[in-house]
Amino acid sequence: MNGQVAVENLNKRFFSDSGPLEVLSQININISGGEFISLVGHSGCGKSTLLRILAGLETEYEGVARLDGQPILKPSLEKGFVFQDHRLFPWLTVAENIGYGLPKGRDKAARVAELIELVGLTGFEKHRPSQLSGGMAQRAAIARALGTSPKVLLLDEPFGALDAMTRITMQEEILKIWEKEKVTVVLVTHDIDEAVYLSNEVLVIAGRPGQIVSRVEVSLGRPRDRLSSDFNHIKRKIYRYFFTEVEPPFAFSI
Amino acid sequence: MSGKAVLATLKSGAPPAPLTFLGGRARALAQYLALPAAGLAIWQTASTLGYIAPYALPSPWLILRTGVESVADFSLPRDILVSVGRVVGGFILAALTALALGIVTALSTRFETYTRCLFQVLKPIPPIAWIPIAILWLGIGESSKLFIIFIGAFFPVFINTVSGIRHIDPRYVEVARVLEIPYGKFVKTVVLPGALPVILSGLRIGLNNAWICVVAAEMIAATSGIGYLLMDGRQLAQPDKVILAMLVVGVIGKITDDLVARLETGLVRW
Repeated sequence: MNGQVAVENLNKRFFSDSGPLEVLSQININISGGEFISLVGHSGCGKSTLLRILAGLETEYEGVARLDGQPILKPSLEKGFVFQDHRLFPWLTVAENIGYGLPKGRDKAARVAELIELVGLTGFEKHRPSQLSGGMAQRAAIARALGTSPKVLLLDEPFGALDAMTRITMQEEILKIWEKEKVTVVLVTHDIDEAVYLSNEVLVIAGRPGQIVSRVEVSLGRPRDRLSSDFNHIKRKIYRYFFTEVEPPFAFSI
Repeated sequence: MSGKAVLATLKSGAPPAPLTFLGGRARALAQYLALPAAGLAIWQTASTLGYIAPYALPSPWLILRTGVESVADFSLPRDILVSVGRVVGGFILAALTALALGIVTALSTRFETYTRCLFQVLKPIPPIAWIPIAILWLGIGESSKLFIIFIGAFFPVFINTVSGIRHIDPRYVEVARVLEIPYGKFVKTVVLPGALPVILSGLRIGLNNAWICVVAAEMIAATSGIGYLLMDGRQLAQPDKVILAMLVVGVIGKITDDLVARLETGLVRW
């Protein structure tokens, strides 16, 4: 088995003082191993909650979430998770942070070096997180999540806090890593451009409670051209679920 | 930028002018000492002109002379050494106990449930209120002083250790869960370093309290130490001795606090 993710008839509600709040309703997902899937939606639509369920961080819900057929009951090394904030430990160096989840052993140092190289942080091994830029810290967080060779990599808006330029660089990086590590990736994002650029399939979550309102397959070759009409055609399809379309005003010049 | 520099920038709208090596340092030192120096000058002048009765407040010059005399006959250094020794002993004892109990209390809900009420009642009792019992139980020897210092230093270290560990960022807990970090390793590598800044500030307050307590304990039952010097001065109606002892307490307290502050910045480098 190779990182196949399935969600069946999932309903999730939070309980607060003002009564239960439905967050997700009737979610069904099937992701083959090695695919790159994005979950797109407004903030508060429940997409991050869904990702946390896949990670095993949320366990109170109806329905089943499975990894390679086994129900997901708690977090484990099979499921790598990258948070929106990098969550590196400020008192550890970059190398110590990346190696944090690795078991002690002779090959630990070699594995850390390999990961540092993979995410392009060579030369920053001894730096502390406070000395890194946002993009570099997020690279270190990705390396930490990849360290234990998870079957599925769960990314919770990992580039949400980065500037637009860095974000594009990081998208290239994550694609490279995905192609090299052949890991299943589930990416939560509110950036439609990012979702279409990266994924094989985009799941559009909308409404309250959140439901999957559309599954948009992105059958474009890679590398993708963000400015091509095919690319924008797919983007427009997804935009429709969130924004009303604007008719271009009729105008002509002589 | 340090917090102080940031505040200065906020207030004036421009970053503080960079300090040139000698000029800046010297000016900063002058500003630092200006107020106490001016106070001393006024005090000395008023004493010389006879505005202040020497039996109420001896002049700085007289206090200095008493100080030099008591250094020359080794009585002051001996008193200082005795008090510092008591503080170090009592503080180390208190700090180790408070750290151990604090870690257990913060990590074990059951232990916390059983001990909370007791600690809540003991905490508000001022260390000075323990002095009669300390003398009754332990006599007027060293152990009663150590006991009072222990009481004074224990609670700040204990409380800060518990709250430092309790307020560990839950986001780090999630990271540890996702990486399947064993509990022991998590405590050692995340909980304790994460709580370190709060624990260190507890140690600093504890040391400060220990210093206050040694003087209090020595004032009531002792035959040596700074507190004894102070009480001795009172009984012999020698206000110069009293004020000398007070100044020594203040200066040594400041120096130890500076040392601990330096230790803090050395240990917490992130």
